[in-house]
Amino acid sequence: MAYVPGGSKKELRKADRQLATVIDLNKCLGCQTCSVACKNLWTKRPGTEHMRWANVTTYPGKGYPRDYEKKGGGFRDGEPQPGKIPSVIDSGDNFQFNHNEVYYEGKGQSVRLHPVSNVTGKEPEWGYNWDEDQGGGQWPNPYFFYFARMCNHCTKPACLEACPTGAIFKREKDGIVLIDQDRCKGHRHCVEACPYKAVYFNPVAQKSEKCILCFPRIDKGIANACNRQCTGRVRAFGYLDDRDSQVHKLVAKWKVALPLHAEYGTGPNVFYVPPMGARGFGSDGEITDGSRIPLDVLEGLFGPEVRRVLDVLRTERAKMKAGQGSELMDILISKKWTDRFGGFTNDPLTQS
Amino acid sequence: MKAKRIDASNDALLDAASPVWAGAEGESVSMAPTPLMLVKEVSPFLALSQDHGAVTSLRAAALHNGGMLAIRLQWAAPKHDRIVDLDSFVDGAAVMFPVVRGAPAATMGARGKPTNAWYWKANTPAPYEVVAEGFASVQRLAGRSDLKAAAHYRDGQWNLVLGRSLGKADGLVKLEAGGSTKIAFAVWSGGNSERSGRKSFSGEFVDFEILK
Ligand code: HEM
Ligand code: SF4
Ligand code: SF4
Ligand code: SF4
Repeated sequence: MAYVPGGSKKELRKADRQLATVIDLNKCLGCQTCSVACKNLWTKRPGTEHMRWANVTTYPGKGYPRDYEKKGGGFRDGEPQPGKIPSVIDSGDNFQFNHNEVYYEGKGQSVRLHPVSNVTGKEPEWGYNWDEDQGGGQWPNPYFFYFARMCNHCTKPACLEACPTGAIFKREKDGIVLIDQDRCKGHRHCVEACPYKAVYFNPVAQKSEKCILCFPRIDKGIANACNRQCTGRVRAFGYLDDRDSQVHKLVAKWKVALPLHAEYGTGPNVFYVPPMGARGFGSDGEITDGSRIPLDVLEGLFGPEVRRVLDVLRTERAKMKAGQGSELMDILISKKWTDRFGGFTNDPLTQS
Repeated sequence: MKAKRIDASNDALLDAASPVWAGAEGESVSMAPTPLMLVKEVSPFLALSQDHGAVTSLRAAALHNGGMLAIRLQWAAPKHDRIVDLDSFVDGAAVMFPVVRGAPAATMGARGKPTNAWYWKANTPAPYEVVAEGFASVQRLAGRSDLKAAAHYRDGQWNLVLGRSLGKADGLVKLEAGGSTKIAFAVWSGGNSERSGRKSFSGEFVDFEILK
């Protein structure tokens, strides 16, 4: 373990190796298969209904949990920042539907099937993915893209540094950040400290929980569920230092995958290929070469490298179009889906 | 502080409103926000905490009946005894004793110098025995003793009694009639997001005598 429970946070050491994920935002369809895969595996227990360790929202939008970018935490110039805890509604609520009334009590023609907030008992005013597809921009150039997120299994995890109980540790062999459920007391300093709001409180167990990077699968050579189930073939996974892995090629070789909000200072290990966006219309209705997604919007998420990355993507795409081939495009196209998992290709059905 | 011996059942001692408590010498204890810069190495985020220590005073009294030692704590506070949302916390209180002489209260003990606290949380009926050798090793121990708590909230005030058998120790503080130790207090105001180090405390240990 990279942090010895009971020790000082000054003794924090780096993991020997680091698992990482790359998500190509050019191809994410917003299908939520990743979110559902995670929910089915890990968050169907009492007290976890509101949790979406894997989640997909529309950007621009408030994200998940709602306004997570405005809730503080992380580091600024290396200094820890105070943070807030999202509410159940911020975390997506847990809608209840009147299925019985509509389907079994004979009111199918008179009563509308509708959700009720589990928190307020009333018609919901916010929920998971509430602002789906609203996006931003002005006609004729509206734009949005889907944004899949999860815990970043950070190199300098704010959640871990915040836990006075020593319940959070980073696995030395692969960098997975875990909350020891036997030690956790539910103080939620980790929830405040994580700038991505990737830690969730379970009010039934009175403990904090987060993405476990599907470690029981990883330990058997099976890729994590959100990554493996992705229908869009958008996600690559593997060790950052494994030169054969697509993760390494995208992050270190081609340098086209960037961390989200690197300025939060936690060293996130989920990387994104920024979206090129659809071509915009000019003032006379002509199709221009420019993207509909403003550069500063992407730079606000992924930093100043975005322009360079988009140039590389355009150049490689042009090469592909011209029949010259491109290693980068071959990776992003993902013809053979198992190539994406950095060797974690065992089948969950036969292995578990 | 002193715990007098009286003739009373355990049940009477565990009832904060019982007339037996009229025989105890209550004390008013002033409470201060914990100095959280001390926890910087353990949690630099918790060390940023502000505006904690909502409860500024407490009434404390102690009695025993030869078999059980009981400590009654009373303090005025709004009531927060349920987790209503992910960002809500509950009220709590604790008394702490040194397990060995010289264990400091301000750091909840130190390596090799453990402290033992009795910790009551408003949404958890059974109190916890807590042992700590400093902030980074604060452990709740289950089933180590017969520690009991009884709390009721009335007229804007929490009335809590914590009680445990005299004698046995098993890694915890040994409390005996005729013996003396030291005591300190902490209170958490749930409505002010208080939990862990975010609380008010009574300062360094003071003498505590358990009269024969
Ligand atoms: C002197 C009276 C004190 C008492 C009776 C007391 C009691 C307690 C108890 C019972 C816990 C465990 C909470 C739980 O299990 O949820 C705790 C945790 C903690 N206390 Fe104290 N405390 C005192 C003083 C202090 C002071 C002065 C500080 C800081 C300057 C402090 C910092 C902490 C921290 C950081 C924790 C969290 C550790 C954890 O739960 O793993 N305490 N305290
Ligand atoms: S994303 Fe948040 S929860 Fe995950 S490791 Fe980083 S700081 Fe911790
Ligand atoms: S890695 Fe596993 S636990 Fe983490 S978000 Fe994906 S499916 Fe959920
Ligand atoms: S499964 Fe893949 S394509 Fe579908 S929402 Fe998740 S990341 Fe996007």
